[in-house]
Amino acid sequence: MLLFHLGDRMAKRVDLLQGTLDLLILKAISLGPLHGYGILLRIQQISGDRLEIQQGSFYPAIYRLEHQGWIEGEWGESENNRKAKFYRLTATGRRQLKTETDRWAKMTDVVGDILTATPEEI
Amino acid sequence: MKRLRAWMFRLGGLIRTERQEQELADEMESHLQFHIEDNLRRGMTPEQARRDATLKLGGLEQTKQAYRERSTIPFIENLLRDVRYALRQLRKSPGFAITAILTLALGIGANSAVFSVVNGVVLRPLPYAHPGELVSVQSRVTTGTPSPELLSYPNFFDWRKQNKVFNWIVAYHDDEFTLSGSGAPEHLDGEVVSSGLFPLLGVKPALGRGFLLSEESAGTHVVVLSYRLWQRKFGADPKILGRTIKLDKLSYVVVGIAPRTFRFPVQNPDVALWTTIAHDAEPVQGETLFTERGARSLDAIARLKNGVRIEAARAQMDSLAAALAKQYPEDNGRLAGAYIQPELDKVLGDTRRPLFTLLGAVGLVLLIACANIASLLLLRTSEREREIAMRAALGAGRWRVIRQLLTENLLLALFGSAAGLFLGFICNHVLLNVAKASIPRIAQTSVDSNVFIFCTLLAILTTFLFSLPAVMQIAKTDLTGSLKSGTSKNTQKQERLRSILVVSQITLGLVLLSGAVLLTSSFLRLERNDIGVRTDHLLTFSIGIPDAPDSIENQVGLYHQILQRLEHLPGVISAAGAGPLPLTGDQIVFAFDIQGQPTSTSNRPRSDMAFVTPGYFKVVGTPLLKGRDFTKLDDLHAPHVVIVNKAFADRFFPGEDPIGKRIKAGPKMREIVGVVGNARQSVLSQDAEPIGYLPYYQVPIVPISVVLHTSFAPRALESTVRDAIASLYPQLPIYDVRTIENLLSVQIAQPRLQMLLLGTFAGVALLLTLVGLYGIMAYSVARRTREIGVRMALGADRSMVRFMFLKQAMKLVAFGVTFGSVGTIAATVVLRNMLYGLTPYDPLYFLIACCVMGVTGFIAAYIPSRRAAFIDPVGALRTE
Repeated sequence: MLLFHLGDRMAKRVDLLQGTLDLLILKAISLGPLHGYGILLRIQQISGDRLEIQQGSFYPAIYRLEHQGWIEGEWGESENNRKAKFYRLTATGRRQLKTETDRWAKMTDVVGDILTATPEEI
Repeated sequence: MKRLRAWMFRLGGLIRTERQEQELADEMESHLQFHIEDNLRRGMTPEQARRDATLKLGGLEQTKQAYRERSTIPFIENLLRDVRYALRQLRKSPGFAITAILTLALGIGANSAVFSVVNGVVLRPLPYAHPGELVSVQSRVTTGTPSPELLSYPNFFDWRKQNKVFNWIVAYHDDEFTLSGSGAPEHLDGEVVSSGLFPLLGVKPALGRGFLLSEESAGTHVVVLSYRLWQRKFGADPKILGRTIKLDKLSYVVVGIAPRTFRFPVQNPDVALWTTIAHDAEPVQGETLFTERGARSLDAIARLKNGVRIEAARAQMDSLAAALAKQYPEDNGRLAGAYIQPELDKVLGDTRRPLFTLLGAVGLVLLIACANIASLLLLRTSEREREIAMRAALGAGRWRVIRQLLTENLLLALFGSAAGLFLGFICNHVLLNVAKASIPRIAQTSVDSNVFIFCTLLAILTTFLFSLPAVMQIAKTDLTGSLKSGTSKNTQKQERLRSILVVSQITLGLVLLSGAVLLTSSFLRLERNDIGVRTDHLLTFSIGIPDAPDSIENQVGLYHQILQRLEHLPGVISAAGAGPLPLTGDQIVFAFDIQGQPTSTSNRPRSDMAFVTPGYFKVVGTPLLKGRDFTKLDDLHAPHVVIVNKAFADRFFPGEDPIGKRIKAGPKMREIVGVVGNARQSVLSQDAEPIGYLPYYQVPIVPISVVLHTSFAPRALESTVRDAIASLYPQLPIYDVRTIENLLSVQIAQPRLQMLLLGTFAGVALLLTLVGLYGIMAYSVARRTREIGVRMALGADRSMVRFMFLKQAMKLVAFGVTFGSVGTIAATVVLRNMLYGLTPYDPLYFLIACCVMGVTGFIAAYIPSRRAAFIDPVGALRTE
């Protein structure tokens, strides 16, 4: 299942994308506070560069999560002394990550079952 | 909860936008830097690195916008932005802004002033519990036109006992008392009431109690004091209850203190005490008012039982009245009905209608002001056509442009309304001064929250009114068209719209103007009315003589002595006593019989009566037309005589010589010994009313006032007079000291107020119309400069050019006057009740109004036309 596309085809899957992108961001931050660019890098790194994230929808997602109160941003300095806004997970964010992960697991199970179904099973 | 949080965040976003925008930009910048560094590390050139990073991040502006839409409520943010933009726009054209705001301030200010009066007088409920249940109860005259009539005690007692529709019914009448004992004697207004007044009104006394039913019987002397009197005279003594005070030389026990703000009757703020009807129960010459069914002196107020409608009360009281009329045809024959109306209606009397008429008139002024602003806005819209086109080209929708415009206009209206409120506040004070006490409850009006709400609503309403033409223009035109062509195609259409506006201004202005002319001429006629007495050098005052029942002969002697003393004062030409005084509107009406013309009791002729001392007619300057004046010999022992005025003679003895005729007014037959000119009790009545004058020394039954004819300014005599009387009777208070001018000005205060207001409104309307017409003509001349050049080059001379523009303007005026005459006919119907002795359909007044409007229109048109005529044709042709 291809989650991330480049270009205009992506827009057609906004609903799916949005939830997923949020989940990925939450996960990335849960491993330690990161600034925006760092989050992007970490997601790409963990996915083994199989995912490229459209950055135009990235910051809106960050702000959305911030408004939900799931992540908190704070200005600080990066390792090379550059000023950046670091995000970390809040308590509610942590809970949200857990429920979202469970939901995601359940859904992939179901979808996986459907996709692997053989004619005899139906 | 989460949603709430998000909204809080968005609301917060409205305020914190600027800081957040900065933070957002910082974050984007830091992101870019990280990305560029990475790219550089991968070996890109600096340009490549930046380009790649920027591309990947996507549109910075879109990201920001996505952020913004999340972080605020777009509608409100747009609104705030519109407001900021509008403020900038208004600052950029201060001339327009100030003109519009001032015009609106004038319109809304006048409206708020009039509304504050309407609000305070008409709309404010009576200051009692559940005021909607309170009704006024009077007898109704059932012969001829139905009119209210006061109640007599027996009728009141019967109604109180028999009715099943009222919880409470209380009778009352004004009276006057002299408070003596502590300090100088003082004259006080008081009210004589039956029991149950406080529970009826739903008011709790501040101290003590109200009156009991048992306190209505003869010999009881109890009193409730007003809060003010208690404070002023008795030092707010908390132990006053049970103490006695001296009123008219009798001892009254204080049983209660009214609350601080209590007023009853509501239109008389000066009432200082209340006592029970026991006051009237004492027999006078063997008779008491309690048993005289024909002696009508009472008003009554009642509270409807829960759920009883006023119609039901009317029906029951009518049947009670009809039964009484059958039972007592002598006294009640013509009163076979009850006159029941909401108490507020009775308090307001006939002031409601003129007030609403004035409110309507001032509304017209606002409409005219709106037309002016609308016209200005149309011009401004076309001036801003390119700006609007630019905004449209940049993606602003039509609605967005209109909304921006409306925001700007609403802002104007709100500024105007605030200034108007301030103006209204000032006008309210002026109004109260001019109105004096001629309108009930007016003294308590103020600019309160209702007026504030009214002004705000007016601001919104006017915004839509004066924005309408401009909005229509924007809605119809091709927004981007003017950007392409560079010139406006809408000028023609716009000028037509503005012409329509000017015509409607002239229409409304003419309606106001005709109204003002009518009221002014009516008022002038009122002032010129022959009132039958001299209008200067008269001083009147009353003396507080205790009406102890045994002192009638003493009273006669007392007045005789005082008048003689006063006549010898320097500066006094002559002195006399009379009651009721002319021009006060006070009346004492008697039914009488003419000897030799027997009539049924209910159809007896009725006339005003007045009681005067000898020499009165000379004092006030009413001419003796026939026969003789009273003399000192016309006393209790002499033959009974009467003098009548001309109106009396004309009505009751048409074509006959009334001298020597005899009438029976009261118990005695009297001979008419003289005829005098018509003196008015009230200036406001159409024609002089018949009055019969009885010699006070023969019938000393009512309190009289003293009238002095002075040789110099009457007010200057006041202290001399006070001293003279004090030297004779130090215990007698002098009150109601007034000159004839005072009496007159109180009487004509209401029509004068109406005239002044409508006149002012018409003046403002005229001014606004003038400005409106001038504006459109000046613009027309400016726009047609080139055309004028061409015309002149082709041989048109200056007068032809001038005529061309004058014709255009006068055409507008003609249209306006035509429509206005229709409106005027409608308006005169409304005004009819406010006119005194004038037929509203007289074309003369309308012609005057038309002429004034025409001249105004001509002036407004002449100046621009003249300018057009002096345009230099060569210069005009060279312009673009």
